[in-house]
Amino acid sequence: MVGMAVVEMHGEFPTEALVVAARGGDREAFSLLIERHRNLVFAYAFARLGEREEAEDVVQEAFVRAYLSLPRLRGEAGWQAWVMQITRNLCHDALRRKRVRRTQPLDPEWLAEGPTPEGELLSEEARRQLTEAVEALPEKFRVPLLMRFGSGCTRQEIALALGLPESTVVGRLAGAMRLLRRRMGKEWAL
Amino acid sequence: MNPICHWYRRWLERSADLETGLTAGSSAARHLDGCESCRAYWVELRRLSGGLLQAVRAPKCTDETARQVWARIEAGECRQPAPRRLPALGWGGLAAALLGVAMIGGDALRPPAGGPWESPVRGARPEPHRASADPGAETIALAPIPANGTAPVTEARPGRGTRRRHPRDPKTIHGAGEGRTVGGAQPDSRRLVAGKATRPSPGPRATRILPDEQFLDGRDAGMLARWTRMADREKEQLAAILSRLPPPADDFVRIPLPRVAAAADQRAAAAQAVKNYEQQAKIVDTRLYRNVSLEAKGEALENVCRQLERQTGVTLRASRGVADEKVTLFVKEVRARDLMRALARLFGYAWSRAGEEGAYRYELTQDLRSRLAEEELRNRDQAEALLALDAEMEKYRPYLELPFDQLKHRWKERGERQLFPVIFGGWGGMQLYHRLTPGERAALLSGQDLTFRDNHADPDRSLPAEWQPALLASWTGRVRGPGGVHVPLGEVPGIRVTQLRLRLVRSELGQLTLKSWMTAGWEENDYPARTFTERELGIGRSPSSARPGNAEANAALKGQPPFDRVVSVEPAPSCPHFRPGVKPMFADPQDQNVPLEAEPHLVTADVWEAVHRATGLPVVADFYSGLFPAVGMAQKQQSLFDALCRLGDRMGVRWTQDGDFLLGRSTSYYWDKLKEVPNRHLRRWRKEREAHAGLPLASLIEMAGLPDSQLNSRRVGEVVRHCWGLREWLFLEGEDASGRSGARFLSQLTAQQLQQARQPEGIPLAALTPGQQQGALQLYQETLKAFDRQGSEPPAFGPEAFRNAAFRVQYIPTGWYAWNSPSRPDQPLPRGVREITAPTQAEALAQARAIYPEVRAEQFSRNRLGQFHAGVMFIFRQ
Repeated sequence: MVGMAVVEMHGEFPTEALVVAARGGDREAFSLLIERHRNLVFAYAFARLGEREEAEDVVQEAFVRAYLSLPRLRGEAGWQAWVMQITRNLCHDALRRKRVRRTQPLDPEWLAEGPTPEGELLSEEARRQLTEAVEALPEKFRVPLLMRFGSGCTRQEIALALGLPESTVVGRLAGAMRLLRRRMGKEWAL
Repeated sequence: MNPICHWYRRWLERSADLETGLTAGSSAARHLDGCESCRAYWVELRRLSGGLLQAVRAPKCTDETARQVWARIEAGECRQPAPRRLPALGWGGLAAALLGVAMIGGDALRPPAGGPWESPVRGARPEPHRASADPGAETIALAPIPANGTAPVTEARPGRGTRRRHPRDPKTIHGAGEGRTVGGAQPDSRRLVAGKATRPSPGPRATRILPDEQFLDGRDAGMLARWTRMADREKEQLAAILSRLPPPADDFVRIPLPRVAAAADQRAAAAQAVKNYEQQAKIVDTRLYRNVSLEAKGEALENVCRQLERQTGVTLRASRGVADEKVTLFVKEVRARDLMRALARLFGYAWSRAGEEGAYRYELTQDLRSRLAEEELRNRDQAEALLALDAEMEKYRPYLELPFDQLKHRWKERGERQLFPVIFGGWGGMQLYHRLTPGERAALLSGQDLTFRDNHADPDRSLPAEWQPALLASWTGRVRGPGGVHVPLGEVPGIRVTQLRLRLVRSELGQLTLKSWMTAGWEENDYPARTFTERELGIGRSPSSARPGNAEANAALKGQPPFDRVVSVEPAPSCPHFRPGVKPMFADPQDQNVPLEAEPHLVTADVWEAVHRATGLPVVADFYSGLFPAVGMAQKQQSLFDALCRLGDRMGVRWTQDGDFLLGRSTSYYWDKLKEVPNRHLRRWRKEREAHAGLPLASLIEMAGLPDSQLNSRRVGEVVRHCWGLREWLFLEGEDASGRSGARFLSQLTAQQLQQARQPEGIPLAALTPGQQQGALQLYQETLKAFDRQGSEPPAFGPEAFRNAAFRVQYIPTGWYAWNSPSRPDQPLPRGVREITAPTQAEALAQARAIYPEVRAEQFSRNRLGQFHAGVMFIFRQ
């Protein structure tokens, strides 16, 4: 029952209010903000960087920078977009440092360990083909695709994370599906 | 593909990631009910979507994030904001919530051990994963050496390096009167006099000389011998003559062999002929020793010759037959004569010389012999493709006798992926193919449709009744049944497969595709209803063109300089959409018609440019349209040999070294050259399109006049539509292009007639000349044939209908604005408003308002795909 209460409580505090409180120095409020947004930030960073440790590092760094820059934030409503902008910049820097753009193979973390109960089971070969095809996608298609299917983000969340209109995200997801279908061919095995 | 299907497929792609799928009753859902191919496409997308959910799953973010963030904040010298209480939100509630989390041990908000905001020491993180390998560094599957691919023999040649000789190569093979050239396309004339030359060639030292026939397909010397219709004795005589003749000093020039015709004093005539030949052979044009530098990507030979002429001052031409051939050149400070030799050898052409000393003119030509050799290659390739297709179909043989349910089980449960086409619409085609009589097989090979019907009068062409359940079960579509409910096709009362058609499609030259079409019929409200579906059963390509096998073909060069150098070849796209730092010329951010448009892509010229930049080697390669995804093309820190082999295999190109030059030739050049559209046409149409903000109808008509081999190719169409920005090509592209015949017919009309045909009422058939009327009726006949092919009953119009018929043309260039809202019955539009199209909305509106002042801006919207239709329109007057 307590757990339920927490969930409800979580919903009671609008992000704007938490931002105002955090800016006023309230650590609990900022912790709640972290809890509320860390999954999306992580999903984006992981989709972009492909490595768990590095993505977690970026997540932490993004929130640290956000906290330190809180006094400069104008307009509490833009908190999410602001954090995501910081995350995007950090990812960009990380990639630039590594000089790796889009050709790195997917982290083994991406690969599901076993078949899911729903739907048709994916054979090992098909799984390998599919992950290879995903790896080969251009970044602008790969990131939203991984966020959508790998992390279960909604289109709206992806749009927020990428700083793009939702319609563009929908288009990119569609483009990713089209490219994947083209690369996988019609006969890839389940 | 039908533009409507095209549009709906974009919709389907946008819905593929939704858990809910398509909204019931949406127009896309309704479209799927009636379109089998789109339904199959939707099934594929949903399978892909389901597969992605299984194949990629991201880890969750650690629950320690908040703690670690605070630790990092406190570890640094952070400026903490001054504490401030949150008004009016009840922080007591928040504190209670946090307390609650602590009580239930909620991981999400659990403070770290040692106090919630203590500064913990960050543990050492494991070394992050590193990219294990460049994706371009995948294993290359090498083609086996063909049965007749006897390895060439390398032999030493004093003063001229080494050369490779085919063991089966006859020492003297040459047609009388066909001329000889050392560097050019004529096979092996140089070998005839090897070691007997009275003076060394003034050309550069050839590090390695390949058999000429390798420029044709790289293996079969015997093939060229087939064109030499000489008896052995004649060959010996010719060899004897040639052995006495000096080799040409300008070895890239073809000198006609001495022709002797005399009734008397044959000895004197022969002596004179030999003397003339020797004079020609001695000529060395010193002007061609000038160095030239050229960079051209996919440029016509005609223009390359012009460039060479500008740099050397020597008149150079490409004959009409080869002028449009495209070439990629990257050479810096090489002798003009060396470049001329490389060009001739690459294409199998020859330079002929004319004029007086000091003012010689050169022309690049392709002789009949070379053309016949290409024709032979095409024939052989087609036979090999057919064998490959048959082998592809053989894999279905073990399944012929299995019940359909068992096939489905094998596909689904046992992962037998090759059954996909059979399970989804191809079962009937598979059965038919393996039961064809020799006569039917011959008819299929000759391009005929094989049609089998339910209850056909001819028992040989009748579909077995027992096939019906399996045929319907393999048809996964649904149709709107009684009461508007969508039901699987097999459950529609009274439904039967009425027709099954098999055809060997050859529209993409160099490739054979076996397709089947199925039509089902049933009664709906006492009216016959029909639906049909198509399925690709197999594709055949000749192994020699499908697998270049560069590593094997060039095995002798491995580890040899300069191929042992470690280089990084990183091609950059030259497509206007993706060229770095250049604003796209034709980019339409809303348009994602062609899949490759959405990602950076390369043409072969981009790759050769990168090779030249990385190595400095002079490169001469052919150029045929085709896009390759840029992903994985970069070869980093590879030996040049490996990089060239991988790149060549990916592009379907064979590379080789000839002297100092690096040459690249498409493995299917004999097909590709038939599909290639000349640059001069493309440039002109692009210019006209830019000038008119859309392709004028006259240009579209001109486009339709191109050969079918060019218009049929999807591969070429992709480049023309995207990279050249000629999107209207889509109306004419592909074997089933609906607009091609109509556009071709329009070329018969005068400008005035064309103007009238574009009016809403069209031009009456009676106003056309008898010849034009016949053409219009032919178009109508083609429409009827299309009905017949689909197994539908064509509409029957009597003579009366033709009396009132008119010919009408509707054309909206892609991206233009056109009327998009239906007229209301109570407010009929004035005539002509609906036909208004313009490049901008404002222009369309201005034109419409001149007729109908109440028109609104939103009634004109951008037509992204454009529209073209030309055909007979029947007008029924009451």
